[in-house]
Amino acid sequence: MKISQRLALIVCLTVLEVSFTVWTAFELAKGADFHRLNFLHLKYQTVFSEELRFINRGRTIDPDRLAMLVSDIRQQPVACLAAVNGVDRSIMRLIRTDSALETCQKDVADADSALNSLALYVDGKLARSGLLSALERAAQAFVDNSNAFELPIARTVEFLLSTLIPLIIGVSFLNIATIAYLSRTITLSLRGTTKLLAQDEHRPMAEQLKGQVSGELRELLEAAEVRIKRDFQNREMNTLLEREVAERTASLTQANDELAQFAYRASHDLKAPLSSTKGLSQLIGFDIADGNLEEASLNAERITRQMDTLERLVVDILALARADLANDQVVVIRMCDIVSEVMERHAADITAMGMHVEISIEDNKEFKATRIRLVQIVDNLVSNAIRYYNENRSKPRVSIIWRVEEDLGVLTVQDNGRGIPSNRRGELFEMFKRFHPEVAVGSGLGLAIVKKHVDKMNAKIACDSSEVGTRFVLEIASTTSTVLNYE
Amino acid sequence: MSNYSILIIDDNEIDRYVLKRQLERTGLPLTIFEQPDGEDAIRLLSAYEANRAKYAGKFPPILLFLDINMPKLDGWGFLREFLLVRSQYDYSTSVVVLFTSSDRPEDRAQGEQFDFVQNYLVKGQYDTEQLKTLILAAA
Repeated sequence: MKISQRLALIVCLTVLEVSFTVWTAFELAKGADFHRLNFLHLKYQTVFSEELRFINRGRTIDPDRLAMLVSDIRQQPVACLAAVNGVDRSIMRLIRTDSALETCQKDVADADSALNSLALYVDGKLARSGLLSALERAAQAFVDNSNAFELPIARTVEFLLSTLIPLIIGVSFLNIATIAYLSRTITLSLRGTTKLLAQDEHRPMAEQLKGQVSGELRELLEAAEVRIKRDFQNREMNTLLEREVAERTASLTQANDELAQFAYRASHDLKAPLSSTKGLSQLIGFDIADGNLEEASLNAERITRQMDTLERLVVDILALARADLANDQVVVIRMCDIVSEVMERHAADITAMGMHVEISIEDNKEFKATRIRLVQIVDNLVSNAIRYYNENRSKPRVSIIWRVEEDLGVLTVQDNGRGIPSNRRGELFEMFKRFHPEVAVGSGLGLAIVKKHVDKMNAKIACDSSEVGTRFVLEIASTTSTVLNYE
Repeated sequence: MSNYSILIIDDNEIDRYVLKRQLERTGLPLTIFEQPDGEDAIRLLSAYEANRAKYAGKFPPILLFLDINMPKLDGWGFLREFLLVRSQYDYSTSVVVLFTSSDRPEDRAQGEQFDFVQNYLVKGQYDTEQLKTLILAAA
């Protein structure tokens, strides 16, 4: 039986028991009221008999008063008959006490007869002696009726007390026992389910409930499981979303800060050669006016150098922007081609400074990467080796080594240049950082460009620098899954 | 004063040269020191006694033209360290003029936090008369 059905049965039994108890109480109260009416009937009959005795001793007949007394007597049987319902009649018939009802009817008929005699007397159709005789008979009938009424009513009340009270007690006990049983079955179901769920926390709830719990409890638990799962998923989703938003906010904040810093430094460094050029132009004007053409010429050369600086800076800023936007077209690369291309670009400087170049490249294994990024990395590292050579050394040197082992390419670019000051190695890959202001020929963006490309290719770069030179080691995995074009 | 002593702190050699020429055009008697970085400038100013003896009557400089963006120790780093140097030596007659390409209000505001920073000059936006006024005001 379903829990809701069991609970409904408990409610029905309780209502039934209470109704029966209340009905019994009303029935007993009705029996008591019948006794009261019978006593009242006897009282009015006594008053009526007393009045007849006074009339027999000579008192004048007062028909109205006599009619009022008879009417008072008539009220009690009428009230009794009105209070009796079908159930009462059935019970009384069953226990054979229904003669009380016949007595009531007879009493009403006797009263009506007395009232009729009084009416005939008032109309002059009945003599005083006839009236008194009829009233005397009625008074005697009223007494007889009262006596005849009392016994069956007493027996009826007794019957009710002896049967209904034990019945009420019995029904109550039965009810209590049924309710206790139903409650216990509900409690056991709940306890059993709780114990079952507590036993094995690893199996899914639905699997655990299978064959063990049924009906509404199972429906409740299944609905709860669905709801808990949904809540958990929502909470998990919210946590993920919050984390995502926090990460993105942090990333955007960092990007924003970097962009602001970049804009500031870029605008500063772009403006600086222009400001210098403006000053130098003024000085050229003064020098020409003073006739100092030699100084004017020197200043014109200085302007050219400032323009070179500006040009380099613009080129590097564009390269840095391209590093972000570059199409990562992965191709099979040949490092010897890349290095040759870079060397060709710097051939004039290398020859002029008498730099010794050592190249050791093994292109024996197929290696795939974004060529344009690798070219810029090699170009910037070689450029730095050329720019920041140590003029105190008789022979500047740069070596480039490329090896591929199990899809991991390792590029080493080593020079015997000025090295990077030990206290500034943490700033190595930051934008607009120049470590040798006394040379100051770079834009300060070269290694930032290198780092950007390295990050975009998910590669790694390490730097080892001292007073005897600098060595950069790039480790890059051959791309296997994102080849867009094969060359 | 017969001679005005000035220190230019700037990593850009051309900017130092242009400023020096403009200062000379004021026609005032000048002694001009140059330093390529904040770090070198602090070193010069920290050797207070030795430089007073070496440059008798010309040290300490009354006016310091200070660039902000420098590679080793930038203008802000210099100002913080100069604050310490000032607590050790008598630089009460030395004032700083920020000399930079930047005209950002926040840079001006940052400079104003130091009471010995008395002016802000944007490179390429000054003339000889302005320089003369600055020197005479510092003297």
